Amino acid sequence: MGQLYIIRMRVTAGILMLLLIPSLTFGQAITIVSIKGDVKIRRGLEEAWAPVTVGSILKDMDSILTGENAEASLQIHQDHTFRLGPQAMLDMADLRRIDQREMFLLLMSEKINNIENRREKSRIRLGNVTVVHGNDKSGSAKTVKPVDAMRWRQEYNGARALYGHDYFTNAIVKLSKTGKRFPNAEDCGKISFLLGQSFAAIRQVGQAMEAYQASAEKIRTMGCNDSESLRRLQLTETAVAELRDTMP
Amino acid sequence: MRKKTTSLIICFLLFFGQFVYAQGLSRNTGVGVRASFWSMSDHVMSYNVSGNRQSADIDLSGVGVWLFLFSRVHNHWFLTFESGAVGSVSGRGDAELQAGLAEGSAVTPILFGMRYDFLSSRMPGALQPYVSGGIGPYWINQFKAEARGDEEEVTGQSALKYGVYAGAGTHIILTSWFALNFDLKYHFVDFHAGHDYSGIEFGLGLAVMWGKKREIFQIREIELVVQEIYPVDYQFYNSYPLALVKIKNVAGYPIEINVRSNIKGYSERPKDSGFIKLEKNELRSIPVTAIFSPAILSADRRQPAVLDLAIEARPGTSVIKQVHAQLFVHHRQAWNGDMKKLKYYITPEEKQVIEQSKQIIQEANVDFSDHFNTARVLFEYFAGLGLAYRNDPDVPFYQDDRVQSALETLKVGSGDCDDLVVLYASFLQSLGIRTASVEVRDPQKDQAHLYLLFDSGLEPEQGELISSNEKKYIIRQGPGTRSSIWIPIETTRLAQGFHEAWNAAALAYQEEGIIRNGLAEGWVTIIDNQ
Repeated sequence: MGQLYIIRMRVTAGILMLLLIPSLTFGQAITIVSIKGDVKIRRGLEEAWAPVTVGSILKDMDSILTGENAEASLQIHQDHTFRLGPQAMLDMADLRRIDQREMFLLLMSEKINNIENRREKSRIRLGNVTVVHGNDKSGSAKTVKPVDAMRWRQEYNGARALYGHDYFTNAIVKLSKTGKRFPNAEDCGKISFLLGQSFAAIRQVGQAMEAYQASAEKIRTMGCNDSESLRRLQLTETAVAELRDTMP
Repeated sequence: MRKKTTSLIICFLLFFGQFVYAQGLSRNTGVGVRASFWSMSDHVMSYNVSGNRQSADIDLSGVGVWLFLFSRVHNHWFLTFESGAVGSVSGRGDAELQAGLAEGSAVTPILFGMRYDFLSSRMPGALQPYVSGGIGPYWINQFKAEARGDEEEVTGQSALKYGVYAGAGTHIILTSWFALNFDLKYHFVDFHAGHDYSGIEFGLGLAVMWGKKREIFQIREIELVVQEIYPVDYQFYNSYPLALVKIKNVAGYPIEINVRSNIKGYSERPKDSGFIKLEKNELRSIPVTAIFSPAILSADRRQPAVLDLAIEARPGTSVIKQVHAQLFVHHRQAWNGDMKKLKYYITPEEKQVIEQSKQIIQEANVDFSDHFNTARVLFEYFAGLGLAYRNDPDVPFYQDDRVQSALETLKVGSGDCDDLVVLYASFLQSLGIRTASVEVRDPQKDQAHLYLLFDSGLEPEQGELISSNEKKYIIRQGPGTRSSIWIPIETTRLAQGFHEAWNAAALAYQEEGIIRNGLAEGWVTIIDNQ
C-alpha cells in the first residue's frame, strides 16, 4: 500500500513538472551552448557589452548581442535550444512566455494617460542635451552621439528569432517596443510587416491588418524600390486580402 | 326653483374666482367648528314687533353649529364626518290677547362624506377650495307650544330621515395648522329637494389641522457615494457626487426638485443642484456635490461631519424636506492609498515650491529645458539636505496612509516613499517636467511601495544620450503617436544619490514590472501625476 502511494506521488510530481516547464522558462539560468563570430552579453543595468564564451550563464536581466555573420545558441531548458542569428539583440526577459492577455496589458501599460499637452513649452532641443555615459554620470556635457542606425535592426532580428521559435506574443512586445524606440527607423516597413505576421499568427486579425497596412504605407512613403521591399509589399497586400476574407 | 338655481350659480362663480389661486399643501387630518345658517323650507328669517309692543312675530330659521372632522384617504381625497345641531324657531305673541304660539324644530344631521380638494397643490396661495358630498341621517325634532290665557299646550314629535348633501367650500390657510373655513351645502333631506327641511346652508368656521402634509415627492434612498472625505482633494468633490438622493415624484404632475447640500463647518456655502424636472411618477437619483472651504485643510484628525440636505420641490407651494447623512473628514494629510488621488498632494503651483525650484536650478547653472539634468540637480539638492526616510506615525485603529506636502517634508526633514515622491514630483512639475508614479503592490510583500518616473523630454531615439542600456529607461507613448523617454527614480534612495536611485528604480521596474510580470498582472501600475 505504501509503495503504491509513493509511485502515485512520483507520477503526480512528474506530471506537475511537465506542466510547469513552460512557466519555469523564466527564472532559470539560460546557458550559451554555442557561439559563432562576435557575440557579446550585457549584465543587468550595465552599460558595456562584454565578450562571452560557451557555457556562460545568462540571468533574467541580461542581454545578448550577435555581430555580423555571428550567431549563438541558447539552452533554455534541457530539451529546448534557441538560436539567435546575426546582428540580433535579445533580452533574456524577451524569452519569458507570455499569453495574449499579458501581451496586451504590457503594450497598454506604457501609455501615458490623462495628460495635457505641455510638451511644446518644454520641448527639448537636441543641442542642449547633456550626454551621460558609462561610469561617469556627473552630468558633464558631451557632444551628442548620433543615434546608431543599426540598433533597430538588432532589435528587429531579435524579434525575428522570437517569431521563428513561435514566441509570437513575445515578438509582438519586442517589435512594439522597437517601433516606439525607433519611430523613424528606415526599415522599409520591416518592423510593421513582422508585427503583422506575429499578430496574424495569434489570430489577431484587426491588429494584423493594421500592422500590414502600416508596413505597406511605409514602403510607399519611403520610396523603397528594392526587390525585397517590393516583394514585402506584395506579401502585405496578399495578407491583408486574406485577412479581410476571414473577417465576419 | 329658479331662485335656488340662481343662488347655486352665484356661489359657483364666487368659488370660481378662487380657481386662479390654489391651495397650500393640506395636512392629513383636521377638526373644526362652524356656525351656520340653514335655510329650511324657504323660510325667511324675520321679526316684527308692532302696536306699542302689544304683539310680536319672530322667525329664526336654521341657525346652528357644526363640528366637522376630516382625514385624508388619498392625495386630494378626504373622508369627512360632520355633525351639527341646527334649530328653527318661530313665535307669535299678543299681550292684549294673552296668547302666544311658539313652534320650533331642531335638526341634528350626522353626515359621512367625501371631500375633494380640486385645485392642484402646484399653485401658490392660501385658499384650499373643495367640493364635498355625503350621506347620513337627519334627526328632526319638532315642538309646538301654545298658550292662551292660563292654558298651555306643548306638543312634540321627532323623525329620523335620511338624506344627502352636496356642497363646496374653502379653507383659508392661515398657518400650516390653522385655517378659516367657509362652507356651502345643499341638503336633500329624505332625498327630496322639496322636503320641508331641504335647503341651502352657509357656514363659517375654523379648523385646526395636524399630521403630514400631502407629499408631492418622496425621498426613497440616500446612497452615500463618498463617506470618507480626504481634505487634500476637497476641490474634487465640487463636481464629484458625495451622495445620490433617490427621489420619486408622487405629485401626479411634473415637479422640479433642487437639492441643497451643506456640511457644517466644512462647506464654504450651501450648494444647489439646480432645479431638475421630474416627470409624473418619475424616480430619479440626483447627485449631491458640496463646496468645501479651504478650512478643511486644517483638519487635524479624523472626525465625523454631517451632510445636511434640503430638498425643495416646486412648482406650487414650495416644499422643503431635510435629511442628513454622516460623513467622516480625515486628517489633512490622510490618503486612502488610491493612486489616482496622489496627484492632489503634489503641489507644483505652490509659490514657495516654484521659487525654490527655480533658485536651485539657476544656482546649478542648468538649462531649464534639460529635464534630465534639472531632475538630477534637484535630487542632489534634496540629498544634500539630508532628508531621511521615515515611516508614517502608527495611529491606533487608523489604517490610512499619510502624505506630507512637499513643504512639510522639507520642514520636518523626513518622509516615507509617498512623501518623497510628492516632494520630488512637486518640484519637478513646478519646472514643467511631467511625472508619473509607479505603484508596486507586490503580492509577496506586506507593504505597497512607490517610486517616481519623470519625463526626460528626450525622443525615443535619443536614449543613447543618457544610457546605452535601454533597460534603464522607459519609453512611454503619449496621447498621440509621440513618445518620450521617462526615467525611473527611487526617491527613498536620496542618501545614495541620483544615479543609485535611478539604477534602483530601473532594476525594480525590470524585475517587478517585466520579469515578474507585475505590469501585466496589474500589481505594478503607472499613474500620471498631471
